[in-house]
Amino acid sequence: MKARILIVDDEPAIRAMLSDFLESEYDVENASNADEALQKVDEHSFDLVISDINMPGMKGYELLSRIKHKFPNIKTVLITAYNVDEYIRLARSHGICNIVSKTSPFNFVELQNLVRALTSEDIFGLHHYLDAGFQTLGKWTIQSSDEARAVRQTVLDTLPPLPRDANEIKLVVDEIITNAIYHAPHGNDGTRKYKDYQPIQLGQGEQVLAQVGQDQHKIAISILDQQGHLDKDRVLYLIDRHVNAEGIFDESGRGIYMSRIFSDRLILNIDPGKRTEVIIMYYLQADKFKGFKPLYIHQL
Amino acid sequence: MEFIVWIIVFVSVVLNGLFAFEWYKARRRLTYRTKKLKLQIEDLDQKILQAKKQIETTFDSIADGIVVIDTSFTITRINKAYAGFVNKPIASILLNKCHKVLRNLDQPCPECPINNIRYHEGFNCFINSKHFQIEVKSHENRGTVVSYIETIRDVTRYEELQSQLRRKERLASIGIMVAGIAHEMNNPLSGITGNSQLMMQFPEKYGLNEKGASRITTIFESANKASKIMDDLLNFSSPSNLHFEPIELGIFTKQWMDSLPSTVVAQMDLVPNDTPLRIWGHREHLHKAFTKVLDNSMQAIEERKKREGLLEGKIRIYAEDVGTALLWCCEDNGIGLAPENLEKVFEPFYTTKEPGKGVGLGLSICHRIMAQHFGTITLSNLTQGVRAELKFPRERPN
Repeated sequence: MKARILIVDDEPAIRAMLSDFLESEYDVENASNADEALQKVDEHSFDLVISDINMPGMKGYELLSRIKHKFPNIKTVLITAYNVDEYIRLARSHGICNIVSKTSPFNFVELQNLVRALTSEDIFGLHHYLDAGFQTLGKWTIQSSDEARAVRQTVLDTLPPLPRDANEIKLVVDEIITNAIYHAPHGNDGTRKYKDYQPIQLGQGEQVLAQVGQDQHKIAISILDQQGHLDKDRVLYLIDRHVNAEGIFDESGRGIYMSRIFSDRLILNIDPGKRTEVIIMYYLQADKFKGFKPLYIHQL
Repeated sequence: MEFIVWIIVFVSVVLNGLFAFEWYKARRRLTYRTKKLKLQIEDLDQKILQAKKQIETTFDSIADGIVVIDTSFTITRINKAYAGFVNKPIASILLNKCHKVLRNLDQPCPECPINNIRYHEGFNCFINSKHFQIEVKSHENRGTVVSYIETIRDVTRYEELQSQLRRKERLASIGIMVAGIAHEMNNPLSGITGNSQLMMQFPEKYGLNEKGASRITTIFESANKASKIMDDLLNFSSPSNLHFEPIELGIFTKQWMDSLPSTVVAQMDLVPNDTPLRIWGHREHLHKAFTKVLDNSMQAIEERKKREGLLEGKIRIYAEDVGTALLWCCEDNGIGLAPENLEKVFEPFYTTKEPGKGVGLGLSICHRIMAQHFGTITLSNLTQGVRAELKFPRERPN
């Protein structure tokens, strides 16, 4: 059975565009404002609601939070042409963790990947985010801090030339791998098992997997830990604090914010208590999609 | 009888003696007083001289030019600052007419308040490309004006700062407005590009023939161009994502020139400078700013070639350390800019170029890039052509 999607946007062109694109794979319905959307959600069942943020009357985040409250199983996504960073606080307080950016040209591939991931609840792995027939450039398992250092360098060496400052990419890869080996493993008492920058040997089931893939337009680096301690609310909290320059003196959390800034896309997949995957994505062509950076956090 | 005569003689001799004594005493007193008065006068003279010197020094140490003229505009007294302003030997200033000395006019200045109103009126005038503010006050003796005192103030720097401030304020408010518009345009633009993308990809689904499909491609490309403009505007209005690093201006300029087409470089002349010129900058943005400045010079040269048949374009690039700041300058021998446009060119969408040669964002983007670097950009006319001066702070901006 096809998944059912409701699209809410006051701009007819955007509604038409989204439903034209999605109707080949899904059952799509439209609403031009929040009231109409609430009515439709009451009358029919939906798997996913995609709503514009800035609409006359009730705003998108409030609409989605009401829908989520009434039907917890419905997945929700916000979409906006405005600066996504400015909505992170609102997203967090309304329990929303995916914000699609209306870029120009519109990034249909990304929308398709997101909708597929959300409707199928199958989110882990580079194959969900790279085009079919992508090429795996390397795959590594990290068992110790020494190996982590070696893999970090190998990952950087594997990357094709990118229209980005090499130092920025290095910072992001360093940050995410360091987080995965030092922050992910927790002891029985629920606290972190390893201290930062100490030489460590990871235990059974604590190995971190790294993978680099490339398709025609982009490269993606996946860092997967098998702990699943990251939490969407915590991530939103950290990013929000730094977006609003409140977290300058925070002891941690700057890494994830910097990683978001210094990558084209940062995708976080979380299966609580089981695994966390951070996907760092770079487009091979700079400025391919003009507009703001989206927010993608998937928590099962 | 004789006895009486003798008594009279005796009395007169005694009286004479007394008189003579009194006279002598009076004379001595007078001499003494005269001496005292003389001393007092000498003392007063000294005091007056000192006061005069003091007044003269005060007069000369005033930064404003001060000139005293009589009712027929003849200069009777000046201070040093005034002599400095007019830059002429004192002999050719004193006893000459003030309008002749100041502005080389045979008649009193048309704005001169002397024949119009008696007090506190001033006017502004430009002399040797400097901006002066002139005030005139009258000096009266028993109800008749005997002389006038003119104060002349050089307000060039002050006016420059004022206009820079006004420009900054205006550009800031324009910037906010433009960013707002760019923001709002994003939504409809992504609707246009998104729909045309789908129609290009699946023409049969939308019942499009070849002609329709090609029109859609045109629509897509136009909308894409529009979003590029919007993106430029938004990028430079938000300070996030800035990566600053130490940049050696000389080396950077050479690298920048290496990236330019050789036909352009052939017209350029880079003045060598061995002094280290280190700034804190954003490479990409600086690259963009330099290129936009060069672009304007190239177009000004093209324009002069077309209008005046100029044979060879020349662009001189140099960087130097001026103590308080580091300068990067680009001088061309192009058509130049009308003085009233020297400021306007920094406003977004202001252009003197022909349609199709740019939308007029270049220098406004430069202005914003320089603001990010805590620097300034100014344009000034040369005898022929324009000099763009990019001024960077010496220290690392916080």
